[in-house]
Amino acid sequence: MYKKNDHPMTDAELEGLLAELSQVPQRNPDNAARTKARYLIAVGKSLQASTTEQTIKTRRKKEFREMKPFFKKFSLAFTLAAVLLVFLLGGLGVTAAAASSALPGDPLYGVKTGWEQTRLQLTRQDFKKVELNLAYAQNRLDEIETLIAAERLGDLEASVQAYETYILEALAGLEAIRSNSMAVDSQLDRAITASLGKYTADLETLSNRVQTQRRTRFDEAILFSKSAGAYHGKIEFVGTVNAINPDLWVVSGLEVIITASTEIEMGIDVGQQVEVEGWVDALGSIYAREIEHEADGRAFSLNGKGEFLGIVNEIQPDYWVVNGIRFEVSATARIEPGIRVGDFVEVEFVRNDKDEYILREAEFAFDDDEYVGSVDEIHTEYWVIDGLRFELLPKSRIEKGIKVGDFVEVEFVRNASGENYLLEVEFADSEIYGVADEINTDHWIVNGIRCEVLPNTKSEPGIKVGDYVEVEFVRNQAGEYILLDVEHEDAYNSSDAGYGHHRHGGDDDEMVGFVDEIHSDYWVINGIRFNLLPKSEIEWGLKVGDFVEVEFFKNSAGAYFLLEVEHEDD
Amino acid sequence: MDVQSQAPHIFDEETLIALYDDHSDSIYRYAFRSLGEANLAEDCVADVFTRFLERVATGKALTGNLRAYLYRVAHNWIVDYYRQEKPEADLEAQPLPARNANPEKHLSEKENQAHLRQALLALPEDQRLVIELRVMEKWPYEAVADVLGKSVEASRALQYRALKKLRQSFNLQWM
Repeated sequence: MYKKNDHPMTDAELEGLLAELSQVPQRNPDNAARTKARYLIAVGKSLQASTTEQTIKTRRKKEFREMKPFFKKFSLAFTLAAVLLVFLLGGLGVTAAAASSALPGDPLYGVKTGWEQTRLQLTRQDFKKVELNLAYAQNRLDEIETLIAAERLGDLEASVQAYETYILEALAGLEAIRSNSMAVDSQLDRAITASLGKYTADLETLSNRVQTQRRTRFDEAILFSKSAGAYHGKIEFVGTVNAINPDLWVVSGLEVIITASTEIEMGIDVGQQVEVEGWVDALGSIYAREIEHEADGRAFSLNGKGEFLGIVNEIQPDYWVVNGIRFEVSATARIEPGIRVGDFVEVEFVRNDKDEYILREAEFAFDDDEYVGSVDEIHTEYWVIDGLRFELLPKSRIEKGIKVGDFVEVEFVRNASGENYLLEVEFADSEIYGVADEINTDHWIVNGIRCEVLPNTKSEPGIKVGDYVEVEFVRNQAGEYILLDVEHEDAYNSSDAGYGHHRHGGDDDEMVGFVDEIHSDYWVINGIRFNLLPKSEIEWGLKVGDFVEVEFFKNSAGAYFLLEVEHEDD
Repeated sequence: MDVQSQAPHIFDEETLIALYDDHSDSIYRYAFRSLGEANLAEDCVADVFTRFLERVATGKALTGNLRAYLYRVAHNWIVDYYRQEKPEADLEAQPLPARNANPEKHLSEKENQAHLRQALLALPEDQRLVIELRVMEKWPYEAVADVLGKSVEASRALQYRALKKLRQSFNLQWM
């Protein structure tokens, strides 16, 4: 440990001190919750005040007319804050603690589940919501275990249903995250699969502890846990009910699995049109979350046209069958490439005078997705980009000149079987930093790269040869760099950033950076060319890729000259 | 959630709560490191977000990175606190959790940490942020650069400068 008046501080000693200082003990959850409650109250007041200020005149008139109840004026945040404060500061804290061990049927069970709902409402990050939903699913399994031990088998239903609901919420959360980040997506996928595997095992163990006649319910929950692990995506479609069985319906020829948590509207019969909402697993099996009457048959009668989601049963040159319904394919139908039998599609159609359905448009029900990464492999039937396989289609659009190692942007869709279909791949927009070597009317050379200038190219005024610039470019089909925007690199120009290279007149300056190139008469560091001088001092052993500290000066012509370069351990 | 140059009308209730969820822990850790005391750090967090709400209520758009703004408000709160509370005495008086049993060493560590806190508070804002986010919070350079609105290279350079200044602040005493 560094001690004053002993010796100058070394890098390691400073690192040690900073590491110690970075240690922060776990934040006390009660204190954190109180601080949050203070904030929520302030939010409530602030929003209330804002509303008051903006609408006071109109609101008075409106309130007088409508006589709205007083409590409606309060915001959700204010109410939640009040609840939180009561829980944290008041006598109900004891109640909350007691409620944590409550079971279905107990008087305090509602307090326990209400508290869970409050926490879910207060959590805004999808990732945390998924974690919370999984944790609450585990709570329900713990309750099931306690109920079995206490032989309160009649109360099991509520916990089993709630368990499935929390799992579905977690899966819905996963769906929300899926579109944002593939890395997080796969991480969460693994977490959910692991959790569901554990839950399945727990349920199987619990199922063995109850009498045979009670096991049916557990078997349903076990099936649910196993199937939910293969969750692929949320679906919603309209169809005609062909058959109704306790655990399996057939809707427009499609088998729809009924789970314990499936909500079914009363009075649905065979032959009626229904709207099915649920999810599909990677094998294409459909699980219903909710089945209800299709409202007034609007999907098929609205001004003779409509749209719905469904599964492709058959593809023929002149007609398609989706959800058991035949759609005639006209010459003007817009059909997204890559759709195959079994895929979920969104269909737009019209009905003609002969009561035929004419297909106007069919596209993947799952949105196109975009992905940016480096090309790992190129094959005639598929590409691998950052480890992810993309199947090629006859109509896949591929920008010319792309080769393994290039950084590309991919547009694709994922079908019901989890395969990715490449719609388009092109060079990703990119930017480089470097020294402007040449400036011409039709092209610039930056860091030795020729960038073509187009009429819409933007360039910051005042840039001259030798300046350090930020270049935004795209690659065209011929592989040329097309200059989109070029400007002075701000950080480089800022004296705070440690460069200060605009101090002309031969002042010495210094910077840190990585060695890009080493030549006998010049070095390139961070993209900047530094000319060597007879007096340049170079530390022994430096090589390309090293992080170095450079002392240099810039002459009035804008050229950089290296005075000293040495290893920089920071 | 990073919000840049946002007009105040986007700060609806949900957004305001999400902003708190996203940033309160990191502001707390920053405050704790600077103040060394949990309750004070909580007070700082509460006041930072209250000031943020007051700012939103003025109807003026926030410019720059929201996280950087919150750190700036927290920094001002901490500096104000020390100004009112005689900095030297208080900085020395706030121990950090991990302690060594050796009294002489303990005293030296306390002095060093107190000095380091002062030196950190004296850094220019962007250098302080780099140390806080990159060194303390272990963020990748790309994320730090995003908050600072600078390039990764510039952020590296800022860290280099900041560490150099911190070392110098100790070595000035030594000399």
